[in-house]
Amino acid sequence: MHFRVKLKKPALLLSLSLVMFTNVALGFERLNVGDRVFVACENIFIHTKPSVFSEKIKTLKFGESLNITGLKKLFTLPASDASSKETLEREEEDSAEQEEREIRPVPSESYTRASWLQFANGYSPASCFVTKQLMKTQNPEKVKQKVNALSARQAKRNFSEDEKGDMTAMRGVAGKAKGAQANYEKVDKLIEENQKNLDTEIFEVFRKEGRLGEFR
Amino acid sequence: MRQWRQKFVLQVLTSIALSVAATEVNAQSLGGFLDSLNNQKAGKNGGQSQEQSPTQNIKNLFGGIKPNSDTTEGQVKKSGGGINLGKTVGKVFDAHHNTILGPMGRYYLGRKLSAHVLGRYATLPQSDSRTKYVRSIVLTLLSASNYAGNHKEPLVIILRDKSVINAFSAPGNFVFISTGMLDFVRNEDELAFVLAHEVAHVELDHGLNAVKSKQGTDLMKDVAGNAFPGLGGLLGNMMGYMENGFSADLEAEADRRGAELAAKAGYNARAGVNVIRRLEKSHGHQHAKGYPKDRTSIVARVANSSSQVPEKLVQIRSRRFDEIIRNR
Repeated sequence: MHFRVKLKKPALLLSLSLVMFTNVALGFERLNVGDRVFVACENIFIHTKPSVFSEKIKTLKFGESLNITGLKKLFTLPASDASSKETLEREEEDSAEQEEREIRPVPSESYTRASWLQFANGYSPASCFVTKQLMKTQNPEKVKQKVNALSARQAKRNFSEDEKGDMTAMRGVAGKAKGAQANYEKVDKLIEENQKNLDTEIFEVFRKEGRLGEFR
Repeated sequence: MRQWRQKFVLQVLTSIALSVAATEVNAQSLGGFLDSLNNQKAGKNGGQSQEQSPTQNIKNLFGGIKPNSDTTEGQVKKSGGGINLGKTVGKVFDAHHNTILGPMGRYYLGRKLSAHVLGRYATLPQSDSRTKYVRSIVLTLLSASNYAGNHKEPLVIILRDKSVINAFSAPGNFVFISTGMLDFVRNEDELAFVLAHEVAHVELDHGLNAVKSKQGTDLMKDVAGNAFPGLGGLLGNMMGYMENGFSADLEAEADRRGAELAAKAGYNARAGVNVIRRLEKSHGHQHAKGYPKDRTSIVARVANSSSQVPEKLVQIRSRRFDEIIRNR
């Protein structure tokens, strides 16, 4: 059997770049009414209203599944998101030109997301819910593997690149990174201390005094 | 014309196949797609199923396709400039797969980054009144954002370094601010804008986008370097955009969104204009490459469209700022 394929070089690059940058809403997975979603946060509640300041009526457990009955507080994805209106319209224009057809309007559902999800008994922040497929990866071992793989490419080049690669994920860093050992013990200690110092009453007084949040 | 159409259809099909397979939303259908690949392979192997990773399957799928090469049964005749498309596509899929992290993945990425930072700096304890105060501001800003839920509670860390005027954030809601920055800002509303800019980076997933862009650039360089020497145009533009322009765009987006978040939470977004003006003078535009040129006008536009914050409220918040941050 003869199998011969010829791809133009720019077209190949375009294809690869499409994989990297198309249809991937990194921060905000697209969820719809009727979807079964899973809790991927440890400290999350069902609220009476789509607001963190509303009454908490139920604590949700990590891994628990719920069915979406409504989407609340819809927002438009930022221009930097691969599913933003700007990006999708650009892609549609390119496709229409190549296919020699009229440009079709991009439906708003493609570039809007809900910040809160409605369930049978109340509301919860959408950023804590994932699809069944993504939930399969939500365990410490699997995510650590992925996170380590992110810096592996850099690490291959030279020792200090590992840290440089990591720093790429932080914005606003001034000056050059100085070499130092990662201190996981210290970060875990701070995370533990942080949990002990949570005081919802003090936080409410803070907002009330400063006329912030629900008191603005 | 017909030949061009055939090539075009092939290219579009390749793009669609890759894009569909890479889409997280369609990950379940990707599973089915890969299962069918496995089944086909099993059929050829006399019913023996082979368990392979999705990336390996994709590599298998494209393993035999080599541009600029004539492939005949049992014989591969390479011509100059051929690339291993299977391997390259596999790399792309690996890179893509690794950046789909979910809430727990973002948290672990943030933890890893924070561990590197903490290897270099001394910090204030979580029980310190300054940490508690800054944390309250961050939580107030987060409540106004589209990112109200996190895998674990957001962590605010104050770095003991008066020589550095800086704040930064990592995925998973890890927010850092130096004591130098606490000395630099003049009131709570200015501090809130600085923190809102960082919360915006987290909310908009800029950290992971930056990693993804970096990987994309590296992969494109690999492809171009190995197989397409001298290719400019498309690749040159793409890399120029990713390497030089992207960062300023993201910073502008974070300024805009930060001002919105501050205003939504009840702060005076105009405080952001003041703090940026002073920062630009103080840093002498040393970060000009990474920041947009018209930062103040971006923030001013948001402030002008937001409701006016009475000066009395700014003063009330300033008093507690002075008490906690200044009078020490």
